[in-house]
Amino acid sequence: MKLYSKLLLTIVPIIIFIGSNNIATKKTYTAAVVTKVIQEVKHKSGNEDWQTTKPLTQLKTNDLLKTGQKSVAVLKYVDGSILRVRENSTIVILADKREKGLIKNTKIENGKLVFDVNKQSDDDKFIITTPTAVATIRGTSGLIEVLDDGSTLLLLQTGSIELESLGLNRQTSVVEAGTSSLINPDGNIITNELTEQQKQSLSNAYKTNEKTIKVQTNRGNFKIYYLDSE
Amino acid sequence: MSKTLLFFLFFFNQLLFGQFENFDYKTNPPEVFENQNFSLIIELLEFENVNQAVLFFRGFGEGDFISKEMIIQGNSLIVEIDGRDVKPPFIDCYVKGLTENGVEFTYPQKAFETKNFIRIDIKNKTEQSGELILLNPVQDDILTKEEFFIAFSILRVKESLDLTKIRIMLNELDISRLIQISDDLVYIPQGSQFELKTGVNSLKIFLYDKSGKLLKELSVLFQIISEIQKKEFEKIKFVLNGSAELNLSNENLRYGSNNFNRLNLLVNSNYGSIFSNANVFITNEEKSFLQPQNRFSFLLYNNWFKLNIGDHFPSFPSLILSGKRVRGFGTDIKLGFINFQATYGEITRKIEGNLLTLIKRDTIVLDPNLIKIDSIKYGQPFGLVRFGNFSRKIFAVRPYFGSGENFQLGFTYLHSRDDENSIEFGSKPRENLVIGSDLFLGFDNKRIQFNFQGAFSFLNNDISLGNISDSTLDSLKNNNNLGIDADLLRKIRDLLGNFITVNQHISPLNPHKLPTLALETGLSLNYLGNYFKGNYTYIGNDYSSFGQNFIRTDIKGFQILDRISLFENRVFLSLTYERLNDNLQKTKITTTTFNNYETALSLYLRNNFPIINFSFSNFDTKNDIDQFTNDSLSLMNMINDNIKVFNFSSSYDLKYFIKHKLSFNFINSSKTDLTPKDFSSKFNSFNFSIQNIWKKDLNTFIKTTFSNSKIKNTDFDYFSITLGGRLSLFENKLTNSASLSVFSGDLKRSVLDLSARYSFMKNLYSNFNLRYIFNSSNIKNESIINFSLRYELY
Repeated sequence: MKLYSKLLLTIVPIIIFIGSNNIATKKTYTAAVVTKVIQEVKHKSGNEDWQTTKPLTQLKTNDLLKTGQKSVAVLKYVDGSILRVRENSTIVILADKREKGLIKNTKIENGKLVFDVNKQSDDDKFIITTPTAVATIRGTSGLIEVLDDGSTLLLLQTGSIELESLGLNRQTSVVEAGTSSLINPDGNIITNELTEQQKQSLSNAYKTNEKTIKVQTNRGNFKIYYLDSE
Repeated sequence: MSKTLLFFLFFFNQLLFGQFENFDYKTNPPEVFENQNFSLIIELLEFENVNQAVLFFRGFGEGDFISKEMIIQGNSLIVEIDGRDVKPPFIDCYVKGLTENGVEFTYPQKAFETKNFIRIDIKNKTEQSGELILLNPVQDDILTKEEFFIAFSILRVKESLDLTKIRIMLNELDISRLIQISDDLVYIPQGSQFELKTGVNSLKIFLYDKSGKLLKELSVLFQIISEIQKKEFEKIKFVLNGSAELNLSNENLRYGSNNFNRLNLLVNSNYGSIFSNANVFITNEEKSFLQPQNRFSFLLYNNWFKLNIGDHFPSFPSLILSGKRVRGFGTDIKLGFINFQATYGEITRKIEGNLLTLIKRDTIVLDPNLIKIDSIKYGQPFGLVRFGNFSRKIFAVRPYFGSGENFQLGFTYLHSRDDENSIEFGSKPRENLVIGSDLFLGFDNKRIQFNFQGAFSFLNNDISLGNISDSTLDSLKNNNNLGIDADLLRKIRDLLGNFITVNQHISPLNPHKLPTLALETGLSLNYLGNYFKGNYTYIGNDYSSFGQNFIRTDIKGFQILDRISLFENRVFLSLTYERLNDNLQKTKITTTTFNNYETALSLYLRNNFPIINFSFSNFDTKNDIDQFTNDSLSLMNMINDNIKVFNFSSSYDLKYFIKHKLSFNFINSSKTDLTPKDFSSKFNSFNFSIQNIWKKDLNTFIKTTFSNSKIKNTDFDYFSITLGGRLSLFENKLTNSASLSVFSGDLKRSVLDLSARYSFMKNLYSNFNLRYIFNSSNIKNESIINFSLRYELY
């Protein structure tokens, strides 16, 4: 038993060894690139007008991106993490490149996005901010949606997330894969297991296939584009 | 590269082996990461005719073992563990099963009693530092020419990279002049003068450091399609994919030689929100005298309905039906508050017995295998037989209320019965009835959870004579000396007889002592990073469910668990304590008490710091027999032992010229037996391995093991060293691996593993594996050769 005690005494102090020496070096940074666009997607930088987004559009710090009806944008961060911004959503890219590591903060004002975030190193962070919550992600996939009343719905498929609510009853929670969390504007976090419907919703949210229907009328032929999963 | 060097570059076997007693185990993939499915393969070193095998496993800090039936393939037992159950730092498991002769076995031997489990390390998946991150196109992308552009990130490699020397080859043409760079993003936009062709194209990226040395290399294949093809692609709403795999093996072992041929077809499809999976597994190990080895299953499901046809594993409350293969039908209908699940099918196939000897009426002998036979058919009235197995069917139904988010209440009914007409030479057909209920309550966002399940079983060990007759009951009534209430028995028979055969072979015969009652209840609290759980268990000595063969009966007690996560989930501390005892119905001469506690500490510090795990377990088992008794029978049954297990493991990714993955594991286990039998034992095992990643397509490794065990006064020591490696050639189309393990000490043998994998196309590939075992002089050498061909449809 003495041997075990010595080993424990040697190792336990290591727990305390957690350091950080991040120094901000740059304010704008090309954090992500759009790889797929379906229908109406626009972006803007600073005071510029909204511009039509195309594949390879680069998103820098403070850039906004919004999607229209039945529209999707797939963007990839430079660390390989993937965001699928679903229809009627607006996001802001808030990336901060430091001497060591990259802080990526995606602010979603409204709508929903599907995330597939690579495991983050000690010096990196991947954050998604909504009007009512801050989610810190470390190698996780799932869906986050801002509901009409400002509440945040988080469906977590893999990994775990540190969740902090922003309302009066500010709470923090670590949510695990296979759960859904509803963060109310008042700051309450309600966590449950994913329902079958939510699992299906998660599965559909990954699809970005555009479909076409041709409609023949007396006044000519029309094409209607729509998303397969919607 | 010289021949000598090639000789030493024995290539890393993809399947790392662990050594335990008379079996090996391996995982596929060899490194197991959190939340990822993996297969566990137990390879039996000695020939066993295994009829059924079940894996019991539990995660870190969990008290309860989960059971899962294993697939038997020759001398291999295989099971796939769902990623949801894969949590760091490790999984403990053991195998329990039955041989064809009905003999029960456990691997490792007495695993549950000695706490000597198979331990599988689960790694936290950390980001690959120093990697080139390709953003577009990715491997196997399907794009039109208009959609095509190149983008990759140098975020992880920028510090050592020479930005002027980035080279990009598209279909072997250098297009590096088109490169544009924005911060850590390197790209070539659409509309650039690409030499793209319809069909498969290749992209290669080369990064060099400031001294001109190649730093990173990456290549992908992608497909260019026309706009018309794209539209056709998108019209397909019906999605179909699957795979076909043919597997041929020859095992030439010391106990004999066998060939195994297997074919596995898997088809998945979905039409809108309706999904289906079909699976056919056919093997030449399917024999009429064994339980089924072939598997046929079809699953149709959507978000509220599930239908299983064929072989399936229904999941009911674990005391009643769990981990059991059923060949038949299963359904689960979720309508919201009112829900329903049911299963019906065969759990044991009929296996006909054999008539060994005809016996005349005047030469009758006393033998349990002597039965009355059809004298017209066989010429004699009696025969000595080897009994077969009856066909056994099961029916279970569970209406349940509530979705399980905050509330769920379920009621389960299970009935299972042997078909006594299914075989000619059988004995004592049995019947089982289990009724149970389960309840779940969740409060405060499930931070407080309450679980309960209870079940009551009836088992009839011989239904061949049917229900107890009125005349027998009358005779009991007339014999007052027996003290039996015959009228009560008649009422019970009339009532219970609608569900199960009631006769003298039914249990419980003493229901007031609750020998067939099983209860499990638990309360968990999850606050401030502290997960606390308390469980109480009571399982009577005669509790029996045909849907759950391996439940531990005659046990009651409690278990508490506290798991604390600290420093942003970088430190986990887990403590468990359980106190159990048996002899609930006083059917044994003594009561045994189990006092166990376990503690584990896991450290996931910085990314560039070793992962460290400690665990310490203490198991006390003692019964109430006085060690100074003069009663020799009591002394024979005396139990008083203590087991201590200490485990330390650590792994670290070291960068010294190249990347090295180091891991170290030490287990010390000692059992002190304080009875006169003195079955004290000690076990020490050290494992150290280092994997050298020379290039993406070249790895080598060295692994050493020192094992020392002592049971009573018998020592068993061995040392092993394994050298191996892996080399990929022809753009990863051919991957060769080899390893050589040399054992010395009390276990003398050498094991050579060779394997080659060749991809004919991206969805058609073959595998060849050879294992050759050089045994010590008095045992013949052994070999296992395996070839497989796999085609994937997607």
